[in-house]
Amino acid sequence: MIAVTGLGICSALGNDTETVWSRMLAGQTGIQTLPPSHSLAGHGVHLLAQCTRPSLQADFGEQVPALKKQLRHMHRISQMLCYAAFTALQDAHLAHMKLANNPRVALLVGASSHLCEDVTAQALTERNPNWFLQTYANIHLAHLAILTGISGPSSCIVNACTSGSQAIGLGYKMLQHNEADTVIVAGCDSRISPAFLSGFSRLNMHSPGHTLAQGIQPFAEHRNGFVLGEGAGVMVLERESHAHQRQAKVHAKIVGYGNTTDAHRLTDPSAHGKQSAMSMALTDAQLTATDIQYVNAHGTGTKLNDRTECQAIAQLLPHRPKVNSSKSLLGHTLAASGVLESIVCVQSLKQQRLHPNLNLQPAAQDCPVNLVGNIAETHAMEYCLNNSSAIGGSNTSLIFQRAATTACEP
Amino acid sequence: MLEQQIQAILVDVLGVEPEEVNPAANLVDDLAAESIDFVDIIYSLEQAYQLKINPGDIFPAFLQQQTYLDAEGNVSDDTLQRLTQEYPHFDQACLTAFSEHKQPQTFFNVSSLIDFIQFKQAA
Repeated sequence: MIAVTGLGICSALGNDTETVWSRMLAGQTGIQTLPPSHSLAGHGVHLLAQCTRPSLQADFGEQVPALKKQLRHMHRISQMLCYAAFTALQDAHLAHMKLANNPRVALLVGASSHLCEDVTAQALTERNPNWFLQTYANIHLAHLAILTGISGPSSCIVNACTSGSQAIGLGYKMLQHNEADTVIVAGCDSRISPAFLSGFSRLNMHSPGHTLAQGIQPFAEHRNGFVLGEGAGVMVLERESHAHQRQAKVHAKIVGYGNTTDAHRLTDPSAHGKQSAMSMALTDAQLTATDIQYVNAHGTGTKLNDRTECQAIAQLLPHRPKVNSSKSLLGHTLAASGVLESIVCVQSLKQQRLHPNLNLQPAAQDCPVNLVGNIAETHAMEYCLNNSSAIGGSNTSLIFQRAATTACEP
Repeated sequence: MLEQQIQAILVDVLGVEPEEVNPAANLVDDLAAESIDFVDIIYSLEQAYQLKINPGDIFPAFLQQQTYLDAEGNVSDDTLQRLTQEYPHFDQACLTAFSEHKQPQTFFNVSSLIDFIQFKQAA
């Protein structure tokens, strides 16, 4: 059994897990309207879920002496990742000094590449040559490794919106195969820039809505796309026996992982691929469909994703588990979303509560699943499932188990 | 004035305290500069003083790539000649110190940056 012993988050709803979770239960959204005068306006996007920038220096400066110099080279994505990671390590009661120089501590980060638009106005020869480092998707991982001293195996997973969930899935597998004792898994992303806003908008992926009600509406009849968010999520994973040995509290357990590829079309998702990922996760967990009481869906609020995902859920899980999407509250955080939404799963299991679906009315006919309504619900759960999907047809499903009710491993 | 400007650049780029930056401070040993920081420092100097600085203009990087000692173990005449010709911003005291200590790190001081800018401004 693999235990989740630390959680850290940066999101549009806040930069600590409990605050974010209480706001989600209250149905608060981190999405805000973009005034027409804003520098990012004019690209077909009128709503965004932006983070309040966390202060690494103020909150963790004393623990990390080298921070001041390094901060100069850190993009906001790196800063969010490192902030969420330090929070998660604190939550897990793991001083980062204890992780340093230990080859049994691994680091897996789901991330994306970005377009360095902050320097594109400058001629190539006029730029600080350091700009080029930001083109590397693993630069965020590198910053975190330097600040924490984590020096065991590491990898950066760049697989669009399943990057974060794959980091969790692969970390879980590493621990199962005893390739590490502790794995820090993460997802981080921010693509709030003119080129990305224009790109998402012109591919009809982003909602054209001007108001919150017209924005992201997962599973609703008038849904018209996602609203872009940004953030970072980090989980500390370890084998349950290892967690017990050091008397760590266990938030929840990961018991199953499935990962499939549609091999279908570039931008049209496939119900079959999503269903296969969930089925693979159930097999991995040695569970049957009826064991799942809640699905945190990918739920992007695009016509095709929600239709195919609901078809897959309805087909594989006909006992009608509860379904919600966290994206109407946090926005679509892309490579970070799999981790942020897994943190939501862990919190849901811990408190036996489900956050509401915003903007659901009227619910769509082509989403025949048992949706959480517009207020939070209390719901008895032993297992829940987190789905993520990505452009290009990648699908992941992770199964989490409640920690409190099961016997510990010896 | 120049010293204070360069101090401010190094405080910013290297994240060090102003009192750590004095002309004798070694950029690598005392101020923990790594290779990427040299790129950053040179870029900052280019911006501040409207200069075009090529790699190897300020610091004699060639010393790290080839032998600079003669058969007797002293700094070779060729090396001293090249330093004098290609690095005119280093004064005699600096070259004497190198001849004595025989360590290329001798040149990687804050004073080398100050001397280089002074030399360029005087040219």
